[in-house]
Amino acid sequence: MHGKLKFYQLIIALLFVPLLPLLAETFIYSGFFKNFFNADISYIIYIGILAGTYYLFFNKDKHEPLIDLLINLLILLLFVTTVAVFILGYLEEVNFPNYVFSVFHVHYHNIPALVSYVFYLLFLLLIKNETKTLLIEKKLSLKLTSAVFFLLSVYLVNNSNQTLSLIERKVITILVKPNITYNEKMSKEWGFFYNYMLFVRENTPSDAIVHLPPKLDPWQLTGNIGLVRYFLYPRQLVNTSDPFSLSNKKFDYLLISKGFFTQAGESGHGWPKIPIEADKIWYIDENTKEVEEFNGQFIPHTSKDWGLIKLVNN
Amino acid sequence: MTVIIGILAIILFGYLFVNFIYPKFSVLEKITVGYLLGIGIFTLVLFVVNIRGIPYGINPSSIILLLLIIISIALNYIFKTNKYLKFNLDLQKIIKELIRYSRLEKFLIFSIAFLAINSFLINIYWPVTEWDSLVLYDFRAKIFPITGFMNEAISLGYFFGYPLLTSLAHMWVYLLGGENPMFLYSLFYLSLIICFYFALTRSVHSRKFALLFTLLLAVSNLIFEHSTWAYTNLPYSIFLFTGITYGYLWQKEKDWGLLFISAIFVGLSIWTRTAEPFWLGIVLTVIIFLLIKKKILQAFIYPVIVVMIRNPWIKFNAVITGKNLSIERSVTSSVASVSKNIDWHTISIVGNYLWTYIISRHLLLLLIFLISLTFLPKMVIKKDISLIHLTFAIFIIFGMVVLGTYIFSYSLSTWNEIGDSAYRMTMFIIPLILYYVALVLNNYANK
Repeated sequence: MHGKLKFYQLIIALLFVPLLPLLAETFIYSGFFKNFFNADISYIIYIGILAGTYYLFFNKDKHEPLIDLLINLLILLLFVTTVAVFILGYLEEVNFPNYVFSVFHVHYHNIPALVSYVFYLLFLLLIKNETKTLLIEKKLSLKLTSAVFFLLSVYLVNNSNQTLSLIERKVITILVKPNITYNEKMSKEWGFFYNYMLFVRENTPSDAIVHLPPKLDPWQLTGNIGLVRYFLYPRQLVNTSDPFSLSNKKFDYLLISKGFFTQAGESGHGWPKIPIEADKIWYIDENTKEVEEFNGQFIPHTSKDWGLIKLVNN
Repeated sequence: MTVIIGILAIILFGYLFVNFIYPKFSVLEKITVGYLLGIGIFTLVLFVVNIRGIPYGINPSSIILLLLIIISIALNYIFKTNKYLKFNLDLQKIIKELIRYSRLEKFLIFSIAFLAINSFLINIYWPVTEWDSLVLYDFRAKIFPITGFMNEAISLGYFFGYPLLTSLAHMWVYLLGGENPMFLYSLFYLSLIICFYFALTRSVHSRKFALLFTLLLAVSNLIFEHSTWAYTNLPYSIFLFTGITYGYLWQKEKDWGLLFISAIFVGLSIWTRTAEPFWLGIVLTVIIFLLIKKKILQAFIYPVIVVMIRNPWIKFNAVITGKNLSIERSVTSSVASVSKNIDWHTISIVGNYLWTYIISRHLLLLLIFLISLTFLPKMVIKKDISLIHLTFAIFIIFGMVVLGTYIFSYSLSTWNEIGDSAYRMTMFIIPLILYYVALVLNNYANK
């Protein structure tokens, strides 16, 4: 009986042990477990889940006077940690990157992993507490079912961690900026590319024909007719595959596009690569979004990174 | 407000139509199956009448939806299914019952509700932002109503690789004055969860067990993420999953209404995406099992329904692109090409690709599926035709994934550059395996 009790205690301990490294990863530093044990933290979580599976399927002892208390504590912990994910995420968003760590010394990005394990523990204890018929007497069925339960538990922990992280990323912006406009949301998702598209849209008539850079490495965004069309329709779009020449088709505006992709390819950043006789040139600053207007010729490499050229023959 | 009315009208049409086909569904099941069928059939009808000269616009589209509702009401009265139309949604009773649920059940329901609410919250706030949606699905939705027809889109080139279900659903929201159609995907997500739960409770008879597996489905990161993306993968996976599931339930309950719904769902999967031929596997499975039962007429009707839904788009596409996607030609050319191109080097490359992008990413579920298969001899001994039907369908589809990738490996030069796309393509594996495992565990593990 004593030996049995000890084994039972070991299983319970193993079940709760993963909480320690998960807390350490949150409150001490990311990679704490790997640093000390030279192993990924998921291994200790799997050991915990294995203990949980044994506890649910193979443990017939009834040493569970504290199970209700444990469930209540886990509900509280789940609530607190879930709320913490959102509050700390909110504080980080309204202040500055790394604000939460610098003020509270908490790696809040690691909290979803903690939440997902607490979620699993609660899930397990509730099943244990309520399902009296789970023990299956036939040996093979019991082993197979417990193996399935183990794998499903790993699936639950992994997916709840990833899904909560995704929810946190998307919902924090909603909490911080509930009333922002469509343009602000698109700008948040697409960055300067969206502001640049708006700038081109504002400075060209709807019947304009706009020449884009070629769809090569640095201009995979601004050179992609399909994508740019979504923002500039009904303007017509043309481009070529050669960065050093222009299309033979008629056009009346050209983009000045540095390119977003860090890979410059053979042609290097910056387009157009040849001088253009311009009626008017608008430049837009990538950081301030301020627009400047000039008259005269466009000369490659001497001009600014982003803008729009109106051809002289218009 | 008009957007809400417009979506409720689609659900009403679907509800009435489902009530006509299979009145035994519960109210909630009729609503969710109704949403899926309603949005699928409504967009298909919009497309068909557009080809016949009726423009995309708020007035013609509203009249079409109204007509569909009237036809569904008439069908219910003609076939006397109207007596099942009573909308008994006693909220007080539901709340009282919910209070009586155990702590585990409340925990499971709360967790599922948390996920569903967050999906809606994200989608009500965030507009359509994903690359493919902007380039294709949402763009079509925005330009169709400008002229009322599809000529402009056709002249711009590359628009007809994918069918129009999601584009026309977006368009309906825009026509109603809405600015953001993203909530449609949360409705798809919610419909999947509810359909999954009810389809499971029909077989497992344990609310806790069904809720537990429903939570596992709802928490799936790939499924949840796609409920916040305006891609076709989630609706496609739902139609495919429900098509297979209702085929299984027909085997179990022997009600032809379920088989009819299965056929419509399989057809609507083609109306969502044509790139994957998994529907052929499902149709083949159903035909085989119908022929075994010597139900010749039904074995004829099932594929006819699927092809009737498939044909308008395929024929239209053939006219626009000049490519004939006939089933016979696709199947015979695929079989012929595989037999000509078998070599070990390609097999090893394809195997590596499948491992990297599909098997390793679904590894846990596939392992669970393999363990569940150890109960297969018991199913055969017990002559559990319905579960054998489901197992057979899953095997055929898995076989098609392998064979299809192999065919792509030598017919498409960029085949191995779209790994993420292959992963998304197999998203239906998640509900399918969870459903299968739940059934097997419930039916065999404890007996």
